[in-house]
Amino acid sequence: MRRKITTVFLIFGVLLILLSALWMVGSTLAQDRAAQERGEILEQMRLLMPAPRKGAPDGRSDVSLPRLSLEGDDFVGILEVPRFETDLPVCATWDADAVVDFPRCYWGNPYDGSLMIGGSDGRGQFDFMNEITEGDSVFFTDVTGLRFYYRVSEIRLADGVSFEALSVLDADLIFFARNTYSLDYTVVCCTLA
Amino acid sequence: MKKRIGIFALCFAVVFLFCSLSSLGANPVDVQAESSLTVQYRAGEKTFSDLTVKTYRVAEIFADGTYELTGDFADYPVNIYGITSKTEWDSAVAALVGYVEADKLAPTAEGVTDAEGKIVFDKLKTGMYLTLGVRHEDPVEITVFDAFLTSVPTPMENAEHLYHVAVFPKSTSFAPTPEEREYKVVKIWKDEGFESRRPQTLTVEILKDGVLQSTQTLSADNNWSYLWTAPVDGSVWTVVERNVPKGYAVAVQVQERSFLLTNTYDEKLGGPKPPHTGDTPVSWPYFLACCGAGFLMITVAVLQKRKAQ
Repeated sequence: MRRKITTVFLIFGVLLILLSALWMVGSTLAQDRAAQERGEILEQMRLLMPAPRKGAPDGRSDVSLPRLSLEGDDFVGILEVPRFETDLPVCATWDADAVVDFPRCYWGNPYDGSLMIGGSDGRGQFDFMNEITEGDSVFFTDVTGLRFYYRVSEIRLADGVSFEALSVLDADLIFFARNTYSLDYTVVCCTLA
Repeated sequence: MKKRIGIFALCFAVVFLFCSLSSLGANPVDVQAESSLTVQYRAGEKTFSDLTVKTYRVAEIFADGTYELTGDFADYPVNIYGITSKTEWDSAVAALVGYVEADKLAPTAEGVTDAEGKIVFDKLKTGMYLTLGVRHEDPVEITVFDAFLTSVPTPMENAEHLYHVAVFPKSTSFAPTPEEREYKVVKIWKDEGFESRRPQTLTVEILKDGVLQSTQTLSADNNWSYLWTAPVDGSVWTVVERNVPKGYAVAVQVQERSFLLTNTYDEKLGGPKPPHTGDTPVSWPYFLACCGAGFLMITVAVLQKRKAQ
């Protein structure tokens, strides 16, 4: 009987370790696949969007973000952080479970300086969150080609993020990501340059 | 390509002022008053004679300063209400121009510019007028004057109205080139929360100098876009959307050779509410737990085995 239990423990133990290894490989492959998908979407967006021109709040009455529908998803623009050579398509609808694939517009728009974007600190996405510093340049280009230029004004660490907490921050653009290991959030506040 | 921006068009400022008429406490509009519209085609010191100019009365103006699409334009799904920015006006103008050209509408008034590049449309009824863009070609360069909307009469700062309006349209000049360039039409959506109302397909007509060149179907299969190439020879391309889904308004933004057809769902239910941010899922604790459990079980099994021996 004891021998049987020992064997079962051994088999389950090996299975669990194998499962963990598969999990790790799967997670890495998923990240690579997401990065490839982001690259493809970015290429499509660049093809379809008009040449960028300087954007600024223009007092428009309809401030909703225009959307480009690509491969079944809606995209609102491209977020660029030149220092880290990062260009990311930003998905239109918020879904915390799906930010590993694309950064997503959480709320607002660049036309009245209320844009908030959530992402993941995974490889190829907001993986620069530990290195970004105040003064870094950030660009957001909407799908009509309006390119808004920001500078990072403040970087905060927060236990959680909510609309109430983010909306009181003095920023024209906010982007945030959950830190994989510390499980808190890095919130980057930017102001129009 | 040499690009020269001509004299700034007065018309948009005029329209903005017109929009805020009520809040300015302007005097009522005399809707019966005889009005006129003078357009001066000039780029720097150069004037443009013998240009055929067409203008269309697209909206009626009421005494309180409000207006409404009228006549042939009444049923077009174009929003001209509550607009506050030049970009939005440009988009409305481009959409209206597309319908005028595709449907071959008869102008309210038509004429030819004189030796000074001037044309006067007199004895006009009050209203909002769409004047089509015009093109002038000579061996050296092509000059294109943009289409524009003008409110006749135009509100002035002293709360009075100017019934005889003068406009200087914006121009762009460039050298013709036989080189082919890429043009594109892209569908843009502004319908947050109403995505399910989008149709499966849309039809767009592509016109060159008012002549239909092709009809294309846009759908998710082609990423709601169509690309074509043509030489930059000064031809004026327009794009018009047909079978606009119910509840949507159309605006057309023209950026060089890109036509962005924006469909805006006009039902506003107080705007969307901010979503709960939620927590971004993190997988490593599960991986760690799984791995740890595995090692623990193997350790227990090994210890048991040793004990048994």
